[in-house]
This record gives sequence, structure tokens and C-alpha cells, in this order.
Amino acid sequence: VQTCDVVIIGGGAVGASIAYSLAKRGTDVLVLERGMLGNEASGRNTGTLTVLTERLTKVNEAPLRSIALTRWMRLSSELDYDLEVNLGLGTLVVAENEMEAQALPPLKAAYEEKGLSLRLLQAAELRAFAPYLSNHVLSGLYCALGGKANPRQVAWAYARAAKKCGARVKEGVAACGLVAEQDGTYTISTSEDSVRARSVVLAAGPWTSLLARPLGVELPLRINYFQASVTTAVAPMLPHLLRRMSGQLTLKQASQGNLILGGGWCGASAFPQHGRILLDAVASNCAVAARLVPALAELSLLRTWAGYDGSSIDSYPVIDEIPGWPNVFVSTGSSGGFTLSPVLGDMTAAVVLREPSPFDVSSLSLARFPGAVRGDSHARSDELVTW
Amino acid sequence: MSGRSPDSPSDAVDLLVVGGGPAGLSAAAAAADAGARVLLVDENPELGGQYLRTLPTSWSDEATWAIRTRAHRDALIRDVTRTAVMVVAESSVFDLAPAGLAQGYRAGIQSRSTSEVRWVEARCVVVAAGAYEAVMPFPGWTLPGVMTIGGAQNLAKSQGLPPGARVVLSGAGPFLWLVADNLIRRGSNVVAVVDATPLAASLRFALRARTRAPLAIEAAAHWLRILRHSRFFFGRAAVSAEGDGRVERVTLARIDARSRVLATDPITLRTDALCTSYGLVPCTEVTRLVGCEHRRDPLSGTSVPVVNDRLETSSPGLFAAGETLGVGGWQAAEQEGRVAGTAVANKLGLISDARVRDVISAHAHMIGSHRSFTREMLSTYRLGRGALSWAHDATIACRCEEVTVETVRRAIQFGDRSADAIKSRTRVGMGRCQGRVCGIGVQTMLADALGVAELPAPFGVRPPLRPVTISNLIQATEHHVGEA
Repeated sequence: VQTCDVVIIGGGAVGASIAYSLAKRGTDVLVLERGMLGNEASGRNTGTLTVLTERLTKVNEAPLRSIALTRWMRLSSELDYDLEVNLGLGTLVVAENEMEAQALPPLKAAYEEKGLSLRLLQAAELRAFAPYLSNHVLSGLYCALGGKANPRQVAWAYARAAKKCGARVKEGVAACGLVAEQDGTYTISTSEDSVRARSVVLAAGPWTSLLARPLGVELPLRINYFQASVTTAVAPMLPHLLRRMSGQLTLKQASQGNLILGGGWCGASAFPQHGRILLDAVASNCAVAARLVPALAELSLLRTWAGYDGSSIDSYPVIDEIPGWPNVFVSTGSSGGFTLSPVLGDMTAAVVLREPSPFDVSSLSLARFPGAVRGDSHARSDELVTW
Repeated sequence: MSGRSPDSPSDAVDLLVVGGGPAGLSAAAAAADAGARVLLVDENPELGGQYLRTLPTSWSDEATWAIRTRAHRDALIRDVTRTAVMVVAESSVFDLAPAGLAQGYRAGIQSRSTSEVRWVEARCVVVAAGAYEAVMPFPGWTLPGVMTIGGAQNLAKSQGLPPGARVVLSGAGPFLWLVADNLIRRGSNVVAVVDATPLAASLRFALRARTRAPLAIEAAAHWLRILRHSRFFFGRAAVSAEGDGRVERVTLARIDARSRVLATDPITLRTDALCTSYGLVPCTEVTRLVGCEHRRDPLSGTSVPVVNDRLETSSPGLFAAGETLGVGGWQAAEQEGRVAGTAVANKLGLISDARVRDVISAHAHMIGSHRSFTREMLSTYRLGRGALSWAHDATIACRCEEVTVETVRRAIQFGDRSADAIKSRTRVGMGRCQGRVCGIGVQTMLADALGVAELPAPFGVRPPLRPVTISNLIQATEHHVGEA
């Protein structure tokens, strides 16, 4: 039987980042990824890095996101792999009608209360600032911090950096079951063999709920499927990350010149057929984008893909030890685990090692979901829990 | 915002045929003959397909074979015209998916000339999309003046232009000879024809193929003309091209049985046009998009749909015929088209089961015979996987995204184990051609690195299969988007 300090189940951006944080501290880590590193939600998003999230609903997360973005600035050099990070774009959220426009000033105030500095741009000013916008756009809220990275290799890059610090990473190996041993350690059986560990971290994104359920925890996680698309490349025309106050759109220009469209437009089907695309929804996404940025209509749609975002029902992360299961932790639930991954790794590592977390984790506990922890949640020695 | 709904009569048909070559034309005619409403979509301005189009028009009187096949193509086109098949030329199918709750399929079609987009519903679909020319990355292959021989042939036919003043043709087998002959007859200065197949292997195949007298006679005529007008090399290939801003020189190297370069006796020729022919790849994007069952085609390395004896795929109502099933030649394609068109008519309730069985059994033998001959021919006249060793690290693998061979190889070193993983890391195959050009090369590099015999799966397929103009896509599609 192999042994290690910590087994991490899930090789997405969050799981791999936790592995990196732990391995950096000298912890003996083993990552189990049933498929490929970062091949699900972590690698299939559009790479948006922003504090101004969809519909500006996550004001409370602004400080953590700011710190995460600061970490992203040097993540490529830290992980020794070019993640194509560009945080010089800034995020521009625009209002197309009076109702949206009236919502912007109070939101600006709310974000500023959290220490963020934003600019409110009214018609004429906005026209000069973002000449690519259609004339009907009324106003906009701009945050200079924001941009994008290439999401596809992020989990892999964390995992590689972790491996350089001694971590073991197994792709194509699924965790199948868990036994609490009498000495307080755990034996995790995998599709290959089994491994004995002091601690276990469940970091399988939205699938974490399936891992936590047999342990007596009903994690309130959900999956939002979306489609994203890319236009043919054009000369630089969109220097910002563009969003709408009412959602339905993220738009940015890649360094190669292609425009990348997202905004949560749902496809025809679900996991695991990531590939099945409903072009009608893509066309609607394009319609929203072309309404705001008319020049986009003249481009061609080049590629599409489907992905999903898994999150807790309040879309904030969940980092906690499972009650009744000493040294078994969950780390999941963030809408935008990709963006937060640098800090989620450090926070989870601190919780696992019982060190003070660099950032407050108390608000991220399971306790905020009444009824999530069932009465039967506790480890029984030598009893096999099957996943 | 509300787009146009598919309510005009032409937007709902019994059968959509994708491709207007021998397979598509005969499928369309067979189904229309039985009374089906048929819409045929083809990418070219003229019907007839790629292979039959390669026949020269102006001197078809010279070769009996040319006359015969040309007449054949014209007859196929006449059948389609006679049976009132609706033809949409110069248009691409960029999406095909099951039509929601309704039976059948919904296809997105874009005109290549006007970029206009429309959606069409069809109860059945026959995919007869043909094949395209494989391209191998070798040093200098992206230089202006380097093209496929099909490209050279089209240039000659459509604009009457020779590919250059000093033309070198490199490839293997009958298609190479045919195009060389055509170019010579059209007055091009073909300085060299370079066949990768050793002379002995070619002659051995000719002996085996002597039962097909017309083809052998035709091939002999090509050879005689090539030998009279050009240098004719065997067991060699144009393995690199050089030049300042366009191709000026090519190196013809001896190659071994697996197409790896042998150091002995390289020849350098001056040229301003290198036309390559490194095999054919079945067009299967449409069937792969639908997601019916596929198998790996050993000859081309791509995935081809699995069909039953009616040529229906595992996706009900979706049929395939011709080169889409694996390259089998235009005669097999034409007969398969007839089978598929008849099977569709039966599925639509227009003809009896007995009639379908008759048609299937009437064609089965000839289809099998054509396919096995073509398979044998393609196995003789093909490049080995070693051709990939012609490429240097700095050679471009994907010209759309300018990804080098070294970048692809490094991705494999990083642990990527599928064509899609390499695409995801390196952007190879993400450009305009959607990986049609670089796909086989990437699969081959991966197979070589892993030391496996069978090529790994090709790039996954997602819509749009061709770039689609956004304004037209928006206009043609119904939206459920809140107004500003």
C-alpha cells in the first residue's frame, strides 16, 4: 500500500492548486484525477479573470478576487509555464437601458466599500473610452483590474509545479472508496490500487457532492452549462473585457485577434458530451454581442465549445472539514474556481495543515447551508464507503 | 428580435444530400425518382464532384476513357436535373443535428458566394461529401508556389493558368500521373514527376491490375506522355522546398519503404511550382458531428461512419455513401449513392422493401469489387508514416495558427495523449481550416511518439464546420433575447 500525507481527489484548477500549495510546504501529496488534468470546468471556461462577476452579484467576493488577480499576475513565472495572462484589459460592464443604468452607481458604491476602485462612465465619456460600443449604450462601470488567461493548461501547470516539489499526480485514476482506519488514517481505494493517507481533500468541483454524500454531507452544488465561441481573428478592436449589467455576455479579444464570446448560453446537452453544441444559442449570444459591438456582426464564427461552471447554490466556495470525519476536507463550490484557484489552493492547504489561513475561511464553512450535514455523518472504523 | 422561421417550402425536404459528386448525384436522383423532395448541397460552383472534374474539357476527344467518364458525369447531372432535385451549389453545410422533437435533421447551410445562411429540415440525410487531399508538413510546404495537385488542376481548369513555369509534381500513383498528363497536355512545362512508389512495386501492381484493362491502358498513356515530356522519378519524393518568398528549389530524396529520407543521391531541381499529392482523406465532419458510430479508416487515419447494407448509419435517417465511407473510387461512390437514395426512398415509404433488397443485391458485387481494387491501389501508392520525418522542428504544422512541428512535439513531451489535448495546448487545428490540413500530421506525430500502429482519434468535431458570417447567422436564426 502506498502512503502519503494528503490525497486530493480531483485534478482541476482547484485540486491541482491545493496540491501545489501543500507540496510547496513539503507535504507529501497524491492527486487522483479520474480523467485528464483540467479537462472539465477548469479548462473549458473562457479564461475570464475579473472582480466584476456575472450581473455583479458577488460583491462580497471582491477582496478575495482582487488578491487572486494579483497572484495571477505572476502565476506564469511562478509555475514556469506561459498561461497567457493579460490583466491589463480591465472589465467594462455596460448598461443598455435606464433600469440597468440606475443600478450602476449603487453597485459602484458597494464595490468601493469593499476597497475596489471603479470608474463610472457616462454617455460621452463612455463613447471616447470605448468607441467600439453601439450608440445606444447608456453608461458603464469600469474596473482597471481584469482580463484573461488561457484556461486550458492551468490545472496542468499547477500539477507540474506540484510534481517538481515532490507531489505525485495520477491521471486516469479514479477514487473508488474510503475506509477510516483505526489509527485515524484513511485508506483510499482507487481504480488502480489503494493509498493510505492522513488527510483527504475532496476537490472534484461539482462532482464533490457525489463524494461527500456517502460521508453524510449533502453539498448544495449545481452545474451551469454554457457554450462559448470564437470569431475569426481581426486587428485589435476591443481592448477591454466587456460584460453587460444584465448578464448574457462576456466578450474579449485574444492576443491572436479572435473575439471570444461567452455569457452562459446553455447548450443542447450536458456532461459528459461536452461537444454537443446548440448553434441557435450561440447565434443568440452573437446577437447580444453584435448589439453592443456592431463591428462583430461582420466577422465570422470560427469555433464553439461547451463547458460548465459548477458552484454552490450561493456561488461562494466551500472549504471545510467534514463533521465526524477528522482530516477529511471539502474544497469546492466556487463559481469561478479557475479565477480563485491561486488563493483557494493556499486557503485549503492552510485548513488541511491546521495553520492560520492567509484569508478568512470561516464564512466558507458548511455551516452556512442548514441541513447539509446529515445526522449520520461520522466515520466508522473499518467500514468501507464506496464512491 | 425574431429571425426568419423555416417556413418557406424549400426549407423542409424529405432528403438532404450533402455533396454533388457521383455518390450524391446518384443518391439524389434515386430518391427523387421515387418521388422524394430532395435538396442537394454542394460546395463547388459546378456539380460532378472532384474526381470527374479533373477531366480536361478541351481535349476530351483524345482519350476514350475521358470521354466515357465525362459522359457519365453529364448523365448523372442530367438525372438530377430531370428529377427536379433542388440544387444549392457553392454552399456548405456548417451544422447538422437531430431536429429537436421532430423526426429527422436540421442543417445549417451557408452560401460560399453570398454568405447567406439558411436552416433546412430534412427527414433523411445522405452524406456524400467526398474526400480531400492530405497535406504533409515538410520544410517549405507553406511557401507560395507549393500546392496540392488538386489545387493545381483546379487552377488550370478554372482560370486556364498553369501552376508555374517549371512545375514539379510529387506524390504517388494514378492521380499523380493523371494530373501530370493533363498539365502536360495543357502546355505546362512539367520538369519532373516524382512518384514515391518504387518502380518495381508499381509494375507488380500493374500486373495484378491487368484485369482492369481500360485503367491499365489509361495509366500507360499517362506514363508515355510523362516519359516523353518530363523526368519521371520512382522511389523518391519532394521532401523540402526552398526559396525567397516563394518556392525556387525542391529537393528530391530517395525514400525507403516507410517513406523516410535516405541520404544517398539527393537531387535538387529549380522550380516555381511544387504540386504534391500525398493521399486522400474522407470528408466525415458531418457524420462525426452528428455523433453516429464510426471506425478508424486504416488507409487515411481518419474516422469513417459505420453503416449497414442500406448505408444507413447508427443514427436513424442518416446515410453515407462514397468516399465518406473510406476512399473507394468514383464508380463505387456512384453505386453506393444509388443504394443510399433507394434506401431513403424506402424509409420514406415511397418504395417497397423488396425493391431496396433488389437494388442492394444488384450493386453489392460491383461495389465490393471497386472498393477492394481501390483499397489495393491506395495501399500500393501511398506515403508511409516516415514522411513525417521530412519535417524539421521549425516546420509549420498548422498554417492557420502558425504552430510549428516542434511545438506539437513538445506538447507530446508534456504528456498530451490525444489530438484534442495537443490542439487545446498548442492551438494546432484551431484556425480557419478546422484542422483539415494539419489533423493527420498531428495524429501521426502522436502515434510515432507513442510507438503505436493505429493513429489516435482525429480532432473532435463541433459546429460550425466552416466559418459562418455572424450577421447572417443572427439573421437566419430565431432568437429569444431580451431587447435592449
